[in-house]
Amino acid sequence: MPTHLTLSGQEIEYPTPSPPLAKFLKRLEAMAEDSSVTENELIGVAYGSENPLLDHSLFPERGAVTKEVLAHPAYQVMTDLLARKRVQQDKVDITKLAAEFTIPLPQAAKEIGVTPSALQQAIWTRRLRAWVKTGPKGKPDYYLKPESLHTFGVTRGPRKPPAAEPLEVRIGHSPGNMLEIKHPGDLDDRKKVGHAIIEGRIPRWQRVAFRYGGGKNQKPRLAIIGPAAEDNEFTWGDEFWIRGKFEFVKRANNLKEVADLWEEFRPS
Amino acid sequence: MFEVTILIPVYDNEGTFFSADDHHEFETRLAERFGGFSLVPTSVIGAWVDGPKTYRDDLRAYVIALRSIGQGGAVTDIVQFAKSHYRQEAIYLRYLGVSEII
Repeated sequence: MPTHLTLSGQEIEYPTPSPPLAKFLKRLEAMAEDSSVTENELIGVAYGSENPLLDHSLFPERGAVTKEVLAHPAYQVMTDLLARKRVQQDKVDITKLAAEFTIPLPQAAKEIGVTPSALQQAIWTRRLRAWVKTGPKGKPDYYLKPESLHTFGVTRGPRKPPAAEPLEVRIGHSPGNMLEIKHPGDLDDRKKVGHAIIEGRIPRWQRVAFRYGGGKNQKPRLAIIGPAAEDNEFTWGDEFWIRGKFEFVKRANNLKEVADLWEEFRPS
Repeated sequence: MFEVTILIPVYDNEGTFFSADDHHEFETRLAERFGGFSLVPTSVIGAWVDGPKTYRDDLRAYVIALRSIGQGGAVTDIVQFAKSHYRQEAIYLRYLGVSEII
């Protein structure tokens, strides 16, 4: 099987492509390496009508990336070539990017009480970002960002979390206030109650994060909640609220911590 | 059928490059909600000023196809997701000859 090494050192193995796809990938690889080719030129070809990997029924003059295309490892190769072009074009410092990934996988697994293979699975399915580096014993291993461990959705231990009842929410933006939420699935009974304010119900959930603040000049804060036995209510300003049986699992008000937790959090 | 272009930053506000993995989650949502997407060459590069700080705005242009204006809510949802995911205060859209910042 052909393989491709990504910028972050991960090896992508993909099924032997059809001759037209193999030829097209070679063409993209050559364009990615050629410093006289711009990122725009590469995008024009990669997402154009000649790419045999893409769907050609959605747009008249371009190829489309569908769920099936996204799942194909060759698309991952394509996006890595685009990233490499950007790095080449802007002279991005890759060592600086890699330096953010500091915890070796076995240590990360120990810290959050999961097996190393659970973390490997998450990396392979792109739910957890990692960088392959050579460890102190000269052996390559995955390294993770410390902040990504805070929000990694693996249940620790055998205890089953309590079943969650639906949450009622009113969220959105108003002049000087905002409440944003990351939740699984769609809102039930969703209705618009203001210019940028909606109400609805989150029917099934285990972990939900919300971010709230007072507009551009006030730092946003963040909370992660989980199911609980007692009724609870969080209100923000006059407009926004979250109601239901929940408890706070984590709260943060440091600007960087809020940004990192929000970015890494995956609702469940 | 009409097309909507969503402009997504290449770098975050601290100047850190968004990786292919960062874009993967956004792209997954585009494919699930709209059946697919494309990326088109763009020449939109600029900057915006917030107090004493100037932010670089170097963008990639995602295109989705809508069957009707009834899918507008789904566009708003994906823009809200993009704002959180890419840590942006606003996202720029183009559709039917109109430009909008949400």
